[in-house]
Amino acid sequence: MAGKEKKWTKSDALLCIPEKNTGVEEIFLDTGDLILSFQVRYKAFFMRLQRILRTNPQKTFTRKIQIDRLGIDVWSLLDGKKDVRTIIKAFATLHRLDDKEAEISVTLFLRSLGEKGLIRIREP
Amino acid sequence: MINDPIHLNKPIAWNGVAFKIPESWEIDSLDNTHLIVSENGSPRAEIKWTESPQSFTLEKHLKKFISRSQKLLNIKIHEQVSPPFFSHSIPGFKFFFFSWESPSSKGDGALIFCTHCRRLTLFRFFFDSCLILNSSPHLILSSFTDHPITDQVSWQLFGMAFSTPVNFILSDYSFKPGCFIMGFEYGKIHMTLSSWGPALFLLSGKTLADFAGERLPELSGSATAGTCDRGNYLEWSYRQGPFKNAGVLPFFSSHSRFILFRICQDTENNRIYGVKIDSPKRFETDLMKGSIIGGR
Repeated sequence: MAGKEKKWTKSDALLCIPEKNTGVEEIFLDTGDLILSFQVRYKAFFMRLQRILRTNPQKTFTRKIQIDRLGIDVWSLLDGKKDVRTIIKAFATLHRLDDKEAEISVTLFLRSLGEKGLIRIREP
Repeated sequence: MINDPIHLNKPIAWNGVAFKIPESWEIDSLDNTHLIVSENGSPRAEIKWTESPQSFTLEKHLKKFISRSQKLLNIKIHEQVSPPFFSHSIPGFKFFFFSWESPSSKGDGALIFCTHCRRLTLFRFFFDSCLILNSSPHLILSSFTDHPITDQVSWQLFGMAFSTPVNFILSDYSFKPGCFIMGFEYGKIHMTLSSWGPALFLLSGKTLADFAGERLPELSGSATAGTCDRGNYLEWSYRQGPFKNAGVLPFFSSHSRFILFRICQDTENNRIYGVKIDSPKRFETDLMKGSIIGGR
C-alpha cells in the first residue's frame, strides 16, 4: 500500500538530526578557518568528456570548502545526536544571538552543507 | 494538578502594535501589518491589523474586516461572548471575541478596535492556546496596546529595543542573518538603524572604525568619540551632495544632504548598532539622541 507522503512542518524539521558525511576530511588552518575536503562524483557529461580526452578517466574529484569561525561552531555541534533545534539554541547561546537570528543562520548553513553532500539529515 | 502561572516577559513592539509574549515564543514571520508568533516552530498566534477609513460605521467595518480575514487566512470565524474575567487597563479598546476554525486547526481570537487611533487588530490563537483565565491569550490581549502614549513609538523585536519619533514612518526593513536594517522616513529626513552581530566575530582583527568604513565606504572626515548607554560610540558628520562644496551656495544647497552616522559596540548583547540620519537642512543631532544609541 502506498503510504501518504508526510506533510512536513517547521516543527518536524527542527527535530531532525544532522549527521556529518564520514568521508569529509577536516583541515584546520592557522587563520582559524576550517577546510572541509570531500570527494564528489563527476557529472555524466564530464565523465563522457574525460573518456574522450583521457585513457584513464577519474570518477571523482576533491572539492574543498572553507568555513569561518561561525561555521566551525555549527560544524562542531554536529555530533549525530543533537537535533536542529538544539544546535540552534547552542549556537544562539554561544554567540549571544537572538533565537530567530540563530535559527536563520544555522538552517541556511545546514541547507548549504546538505546541498554539497557534507551532511545528511536523519528523521528522529 | 496546578499549572505554573504564565509569565509574559518578552515584549514585542512592531509598527505601532505592542504586546507581551512568553519567553519561549518568538516572531516567526512579519510584514508591515502582520505578525506570526511561534514556539519551537509551531504557530501560537497570528496578528493582523488595519487602519480604518476616514468615515465608516464600526459594524460595517468589522464585517468587512472579518470577511477579508476569513478569505485571507482561509478560516471560518464564529462570534463568541466576551469572557467574564476579561478587562483591559486602557479605556478606548473595544474587544470582540470569536472562535475560528480552518481545515487543519482551530482556536480562539479577538478583534480589537481602538477608538483613539481607529486601528482594527485581529488576534487569533492556535488550538492549544485557548482563551481562559490567566492563559497566554488572556495575558497577551491584556498587554496589548496599539498607539504610543508619548511622542515616541517603541520597537522591540529580535533582541533590539529602541524608539522613534511618532511622525517617522517605517519605510523599509530587512532581517538577514548577521544584519538587521530598518529604515524610517519623515518628510525628507531618512533614518536607518542597523544591528550587526555577533560583534566579537565581526570585529575580530579590526577596529570599530574599520568596520564602519566597510559598511559605509562614503564616510568622510574623522570620527568623534562619545559615550551612550550601550557603550562608547564613534560618530561622523559630513555633507554629501552631487557637487563638492556645492552646499555652501544657496542654489545648490537643496541638493546637499547632511549625514550623521553613529556606530557603537554593545558588548553586553554582542552586537554592533549603527544609526544613519540623512537630512536636507541640518545635522539632526537631537534625533540621534533619542535613537537606539542616543548619547548622554
